[in-house]
Amino acid sequence: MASVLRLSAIKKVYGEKVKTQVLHGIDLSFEMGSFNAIIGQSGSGKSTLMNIMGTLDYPTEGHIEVYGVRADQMDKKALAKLRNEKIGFIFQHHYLLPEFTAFENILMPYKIRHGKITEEARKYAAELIELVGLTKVKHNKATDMSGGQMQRVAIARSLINQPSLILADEPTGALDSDTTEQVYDLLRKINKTYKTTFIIITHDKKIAEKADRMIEIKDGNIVLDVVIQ
Amino acid sequence: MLPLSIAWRFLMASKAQTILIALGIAVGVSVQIFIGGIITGLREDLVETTIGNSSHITVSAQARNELLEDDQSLYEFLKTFDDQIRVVNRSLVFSGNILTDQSDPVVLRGFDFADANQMYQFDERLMAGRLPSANQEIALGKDLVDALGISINDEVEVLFTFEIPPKRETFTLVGVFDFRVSQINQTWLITTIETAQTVLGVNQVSAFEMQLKDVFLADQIAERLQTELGDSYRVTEWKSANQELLSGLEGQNISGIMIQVFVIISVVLGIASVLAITVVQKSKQLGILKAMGIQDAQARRIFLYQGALLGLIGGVLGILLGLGLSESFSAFALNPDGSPILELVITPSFIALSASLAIMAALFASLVPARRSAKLSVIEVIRNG
Ligand SMILES: Nc1ncnc2c1ncn2[C@@H]1O[C@H](COP(=O)(O)OP(=O)(O)O)[C@@H](O)[C@H]1O
Ligand SMILES: [Mg+2]
Repeated sequence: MASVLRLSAIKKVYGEKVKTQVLHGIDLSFEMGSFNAIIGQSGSGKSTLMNIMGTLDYPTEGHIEVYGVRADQMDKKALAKLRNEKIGFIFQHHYLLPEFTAFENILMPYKIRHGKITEEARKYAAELIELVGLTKVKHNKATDMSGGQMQRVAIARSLINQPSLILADEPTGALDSDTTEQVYDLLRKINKTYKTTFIIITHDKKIAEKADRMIEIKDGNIVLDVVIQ
Repeated sequence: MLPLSIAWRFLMASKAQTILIALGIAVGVSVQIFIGGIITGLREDLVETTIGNSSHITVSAQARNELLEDDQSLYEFLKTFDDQIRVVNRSLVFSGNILTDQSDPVVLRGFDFADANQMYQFDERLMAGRLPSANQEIALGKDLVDALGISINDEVEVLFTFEIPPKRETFTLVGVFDFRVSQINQTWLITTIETAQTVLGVNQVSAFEMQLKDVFLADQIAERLQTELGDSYRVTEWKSANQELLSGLEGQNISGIMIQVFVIISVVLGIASVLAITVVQKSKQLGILKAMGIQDAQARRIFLYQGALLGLIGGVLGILLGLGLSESFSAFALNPDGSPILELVITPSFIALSASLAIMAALFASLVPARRSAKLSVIEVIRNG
């Protein structure tokens, strides 16, 4: 099967004077349409890895290929375009734009990509908002919603440009367990419906066990990589 | 378009802050317009009072007290010499004495009123009667008329000492004028140029007087005229006789420019500091936008647009405020007779200049914040949540 994302010998060292190596040569490859979970203790290097996978950060050493193209050699401009068109992000702290409504937040990546919003895009956004169950509050400002609602807006936003890869860094970290369950069911549903590849970071083993594949990181090394039946 | 709409949304999201900074710009612009109006008004007022009713360039004979031939072709030549020359006025001036108990010295001034009115506005200065038209008709200043205790249609006897024995002439008073300058009101006798020439027994004039559209070009035109006319003529102009006024105007101009410069500097500093804070306030949003793929150049434009929008809003408000300020100045700062103390001069081009300065200042002030927002790294924002 074709690989969406391939990491080879990724190392990350923080700091100029006092150097801390956080990743010690990570090799990973993710297949199209798969639903992957990365687990590990706090401070093990999950977010660092995720940010490198999402081209938000550069590795100190190693290669990263997105859809077969070397991302570690691209300039900032090309990376911004790559992120916008190919990758959807869901962060722990949802990161909505408080100046915009839920609906406008969802359409923002589309607007960045096309410069304007078509009727078609509006329809698709409405569909996504229905999917995440927020039709009632779609014209609320981002600040007038609960944590779970905001995170669901962020999920809908990550889908608007129909990326084939979605990276989520502890998307339910700030949510209670019921809401967590709902959000994961939603992500799973999207994975089934749109064949979107998911790479999800979590420290919740129960959740991770529902994925197709579970990867565990410890002190910047992969210590476990299993396919779940 | 995206950066513009984000810029607008950012501004609208913090309305109080936006209004405050726009008001700051508006005050700056209005002060500029108001001060500019006062300075230009003062300048025009000063120039008008000083030389509004006098000759800007005068052509006379080289030797003092000599007259020029009343030459129609010279008159025509002067009229067409330069586009700036608004009016050419022939005048014949000589002195005499009015016979009262103490025999007051006076000056008889003969004019062609069709031309002279355009320079001296005699018709507007006339308090009673009319301007002289027929032979031996004269108009006198109001102070002189009061002193003599005469009225319209009375006869006035004048003694001229250009020959011996002195020549005695009788005129008919047809008009009384008021120049609001007692020197003129006490000594001028106005008559037609023909009457003056007949009295003096010549067909000559004292001078050809000229007024210009742009009074400040007088020296240049006078110089060219002198070269053209040659040494038998003397060409004088108002500027060389009014150096003090000119340096006063210059000083006023410079202080005006200084005020404008300081206003602009304070506007720039104000906008720059507020926008600098805004970049920090909005760094999370910028990080999110960058994670979602906005280009650094677009991130930069968000802040340039914010600056431009603030400049635009502030500029428009400032123009309204400045015009309002000037209106109320004209309405409330009055002389005892009800006329405005000073006519403010605010031209559309000055308003446009002031507003575009505001926008440029705002843009300039947003350069540093814009650079910072372009440089802001996504990962810093994402990591520090
Ligand atoms: N900018 C940074 N400078 C120095 N050390 C950092 C920086 N960012 C993260 N780290 C360190 O790298 C390690 C891994 O962090 P992170 O990837 O956030 O872990 P996780 O997401 O698994 O909790 C931690 O020890 C953290 O302190
Ligand atoms: Mg983390």
